[in-house]
Amino acid sequence: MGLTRSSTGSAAAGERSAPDGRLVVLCGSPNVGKSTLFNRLTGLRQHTGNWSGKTVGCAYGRCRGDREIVLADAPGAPSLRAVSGEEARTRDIVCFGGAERVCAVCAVPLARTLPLALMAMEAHGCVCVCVNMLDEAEKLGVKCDLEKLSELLGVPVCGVSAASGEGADAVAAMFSGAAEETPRSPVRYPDDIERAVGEILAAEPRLGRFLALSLLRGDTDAAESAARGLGIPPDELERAAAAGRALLSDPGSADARIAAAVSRTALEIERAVCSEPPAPDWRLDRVLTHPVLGLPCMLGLLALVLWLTAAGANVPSEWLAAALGYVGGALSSALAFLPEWAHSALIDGMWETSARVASVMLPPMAIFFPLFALLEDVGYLPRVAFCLDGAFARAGASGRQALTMCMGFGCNAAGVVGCRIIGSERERLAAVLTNAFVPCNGRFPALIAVTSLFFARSAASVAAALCALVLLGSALSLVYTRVLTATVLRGLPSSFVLELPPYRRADPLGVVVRSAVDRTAFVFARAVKVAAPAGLLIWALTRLGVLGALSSALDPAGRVLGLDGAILLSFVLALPANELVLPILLLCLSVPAGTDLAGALAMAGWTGETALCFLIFMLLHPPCATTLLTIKSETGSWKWAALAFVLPLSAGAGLCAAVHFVYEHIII
Amino acid sequence: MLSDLWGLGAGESARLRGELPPGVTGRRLAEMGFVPGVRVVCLQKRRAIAAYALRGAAVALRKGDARLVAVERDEPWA
Repeated sequence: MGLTRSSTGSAAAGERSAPDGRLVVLCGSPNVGKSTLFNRLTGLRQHTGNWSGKTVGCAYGRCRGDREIVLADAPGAPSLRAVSGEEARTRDIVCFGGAERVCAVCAVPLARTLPLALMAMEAHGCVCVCVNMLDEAEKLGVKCDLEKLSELLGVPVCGVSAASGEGADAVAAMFSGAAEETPRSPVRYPDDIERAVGEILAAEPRLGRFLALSLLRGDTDAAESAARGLGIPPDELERAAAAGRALLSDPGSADARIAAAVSRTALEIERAVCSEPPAPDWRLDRVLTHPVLGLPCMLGLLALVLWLTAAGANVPSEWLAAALGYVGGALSSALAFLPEWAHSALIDGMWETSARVASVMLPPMAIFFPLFALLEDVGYLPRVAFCLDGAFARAGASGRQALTMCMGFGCNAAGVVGCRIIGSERERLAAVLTNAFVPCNGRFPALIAVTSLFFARSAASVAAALCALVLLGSALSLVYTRVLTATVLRGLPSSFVLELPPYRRADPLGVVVRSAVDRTAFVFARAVKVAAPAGLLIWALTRLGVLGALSSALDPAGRVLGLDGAILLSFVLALPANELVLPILLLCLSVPAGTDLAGALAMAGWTGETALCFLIFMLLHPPCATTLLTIKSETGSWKWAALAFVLPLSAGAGLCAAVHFVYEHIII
Repeated sequence: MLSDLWGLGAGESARLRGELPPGVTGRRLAEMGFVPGVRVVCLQKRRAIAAYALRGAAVALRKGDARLVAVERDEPWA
């Protein structure tokens, strides 16, 4: 997925429809390497991260071996009994997606990944199984008898190591083959449940075993989907369900008993097919999840990433600024034939803003994001959720909110979309509304720049200051979550099981190159599409004399917050994207082209107080337009987007006003 | 010795006994592999959340959820 244009904003929330061809759906638990397999078979480059819930939404692609076959990469789901929105998507694609074949992707340990395959066999007429990550299983010392597995399940089974590509051809060949009817799944339920299923299927044979079992489990969401997908009137469906439920010995426990039967079967099959898996390698985690050492390690890693960003961005920034300055000069001369106003509009307005975004904003983003992606890929983020769970539980938040907040570091909009991994609707809303308290990739460059100029000399102290800001933002997000879950979003906490997948050896060069290119291309495109018009608009406002008036109008409000009118105006105009704030500010200050940031801010009369308030406001201000639009489409209402706008603003304004008060009345 | 899952300290192991809690919790646990008879080892324990190993994989449960799972501890000399 990556944090690119197509994966954030309204584009990500929308459903994509499948292209024409023979549809094969890939489904499986999170972390079985399903997306890696998808990439391998289609040649596409969906970004995969090593934690639950990374693939959000459904990707489609043509199979390399046989162009007739269209592969769908369904969201990761440990079970077709859906808890979250994306798991429901997977269930619906399997049951009603019109696929010719469903391929359940499994991996060692089979006991945990087989249940989905067993359920898929109950839900779809043509299922095959693909056991992935065989190379990792071998490294762990686990042997799998795939022929025996195929015999016990009754469906074709293929082994593959998607990361290296070994066996991918056999998988493609398996898909190309004739679609065979899948026999009944080997799961045997207690007698009363089997009788109840028979009763439901007698009334509605089109349902199939999985949907019949879902009705017995009281899964209303699945029932609604079934009514829609099969065109059965809901009351008819309810009658059939009631008839079935009447035969159950204890309807209340049906859900748990059905799940237990599936898990028991998976465990038995695993025992028959695989050698005993060794215990997970906990050596590194003993330190990283340690009650005392865990948090310092986490903070240390954060500080390291920020230090590398701050230190590494300097030279490329200067180089880029020089190069773009040269290009700007050449462009200016080349366009000298234009009338003065047109020349100024293009060069001083559009070019200047875009160039500042590229040179000041881009290098830190191009360093931070790959580092963050590396941590994600390796599988460290669930450990963060594990260490911070106490704080999140006390705030009434889902434990997965730690993960979505981490995603917010990359991009707030992506963090909001990522909240789909939270099953409970009210906990998801809490996570969505407070995601913007975490500074996104686009805000770091401004934070680094201002901190280096006013408060810290070395990259190390800049990193420390930034850590403090991140902690402030995170702490406030938890405070606001607590308030939300105690008032507007009250309810019972949902149960929470966190997977801690084994650390994956990430391909550092691959991740770095791929995400640097992804991110760079994205920001470049956004700079051109958004910064250039913004620069043009401000240039026009300046020429018309309106800018000065707007700036003065906002000045009183700005002063109360320890800022000034120009800064406030910049924040307003930078609504489309956070990386625009500083470039727009420089434009508003009408500094001569080529003035560096230090000079410009000195000219504008910035003091230490101004810088501090700027940092606070940069951390705590309304989310960018992309994020707001994403919130609207994810929650379905402008009401929540409006709340998401107000919450960080209230924190930022309140804190800035407090700081200003202290400076005014206490510090001379 | 019968106990609940939360009762295990880091490094201790047990086997699951009895029925799983009803509702969403029980189902999620069953899907993760918590089936009666399976062997569980406690890997790490913090104040309100703990990590467990079962069937070669690691999962974490909160205190409230772990208290609902009945286990029979492995005696040290067994």
